[in-house]
Amino acid sequence: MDAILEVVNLTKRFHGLLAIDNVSFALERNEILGLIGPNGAGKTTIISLVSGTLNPTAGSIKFEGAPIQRLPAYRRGLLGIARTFQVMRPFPGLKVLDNVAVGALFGAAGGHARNLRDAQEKAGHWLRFVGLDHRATQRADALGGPDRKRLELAKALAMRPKLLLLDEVMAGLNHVEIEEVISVIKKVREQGISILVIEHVMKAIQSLSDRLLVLHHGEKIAEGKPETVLSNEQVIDAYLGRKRL
Amino acid sequence: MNRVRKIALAAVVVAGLATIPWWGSAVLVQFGIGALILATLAQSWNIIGGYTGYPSFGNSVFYGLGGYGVAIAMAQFQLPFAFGLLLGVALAVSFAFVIGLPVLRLRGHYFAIATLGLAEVMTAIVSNLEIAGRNVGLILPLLKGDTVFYELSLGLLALTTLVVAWLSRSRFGFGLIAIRENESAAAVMGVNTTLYKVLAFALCSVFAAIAGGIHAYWITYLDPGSAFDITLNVKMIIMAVFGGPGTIFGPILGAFALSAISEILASKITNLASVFFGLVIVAAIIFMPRGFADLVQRFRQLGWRYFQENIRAHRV
Repeated sequence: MDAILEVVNLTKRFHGLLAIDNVSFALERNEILGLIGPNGAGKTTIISLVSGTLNPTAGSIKFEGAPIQRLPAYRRGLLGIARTFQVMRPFPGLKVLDNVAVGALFGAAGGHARNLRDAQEKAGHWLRFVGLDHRATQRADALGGPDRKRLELAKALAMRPKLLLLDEVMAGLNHVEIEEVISVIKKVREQGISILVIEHVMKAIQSLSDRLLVLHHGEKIAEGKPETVLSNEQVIDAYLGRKRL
Repeated sequence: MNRVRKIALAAVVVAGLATIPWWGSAVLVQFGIGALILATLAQSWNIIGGYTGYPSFGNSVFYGLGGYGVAIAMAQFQLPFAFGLLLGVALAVSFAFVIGLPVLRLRGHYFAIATLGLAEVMTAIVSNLEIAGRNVGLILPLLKGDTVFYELSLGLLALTTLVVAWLSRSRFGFGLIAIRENESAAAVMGVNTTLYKVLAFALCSVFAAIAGGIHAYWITYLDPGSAFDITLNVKMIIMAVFGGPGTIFGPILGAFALSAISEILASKITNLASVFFGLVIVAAIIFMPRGFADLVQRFRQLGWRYFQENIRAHRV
């Protein structure tokens, strides 16, 4: 097995609250792993710990075999880890194109763009890829919710990552838009990128993921093929509440 | 073609300004030196405050250190002016690194407050240094004529502006802008935020220090109170914000416009000048909160509605 990401006994405590409790999992190369669980289960915390936005209380995170849990966020970006934010964090005063150009100027291995013009060209490519090229010259704060989701995705892709962490990129989208994003994510995987994806839209995550990992109150309660996991009784309990007989 | 025309226009303006000492009055040249130095300071503040989004109150310390570099070198060791400038820049850059590493970890208002005390601290330190003339100050050798100082100031402003223009098109500058727009998003995209912020701080200290050095040699006198004057820092901020922070020409326009307004007010109505100056600032904040550069850009599209929208957007 060739794991790109290995998480072992990961724990995160916010003062009194145990947000992530001893979670271990691995993400294979070129795999799409779906991370699901009820609100407050700790899904976003996992992504923040892997991307370096937060530091773990205990446990280790290995990326391509090397421990990264103590590296600052930007170093992980250089190694090839990119994330999107559930609460979108665009560069509001910059043009949409320049938002994405930042990813090409920096990103994995310190950026693959030679200069600003080159970065903007590459940014244009990623905007077309996610279907946002028609808004390239507008300021990012002029975008509505769905377009901001697309922008988050384009910014992350422009970094040329090896591992992409997607935090609810489909929330608030309609059916047609969800279909579009699913096909975009599938195309991303075809480029050899490994993906960890958090999603509430159950149909979407079922059709996307090779495997699912279920979190509940910060603990891993199930992991495996989507069909098996979703028929697991503990998982159903976590989502719908315990059956009373 | 458009870009070439812009560069040509800028070169013509600089060349035109450079001729002023040959036909302008002594008063105009002296006003010019003051305005050029303030414009340089506003422009250098623009690097850390406008582009990186860290509103520094520590830039008057860089200015003061630049002045003391020149004063100490020339008055105490009889060294040439250029050596003094180098010493001043070295002092300011070291200070930027030493102070920048801890305080640039603070964000927004906290950063501003942390830098607010720096000028006071430096005044206290320098007042007790024998080599810096304690609180009596230092007297520099006299160089007659304002022309040299005028041309030096103009050259420095042009250089600072070139650097800012480079910032707005370079990878480094984009890193700074990304930090300003959203620091945590910049970090996950691979921007070494700590390094970039400290480098921006150090870069702006270079120009502020040279400006301080030129000013000290021109005035031929330096004491701690005038070297580390926090109101000078407030002026830089007002001028940069008046003109448009984070733009290439905004801080220059702001510095020239406000220098002229304050000069005219001071000569017409001596006593109430600062009151009227305050009114100008208040009006500017209400009618064009994003600065003169934004007004120039958007007034063409919106006309008078521009002012109405600003008032509406900022109603409490």
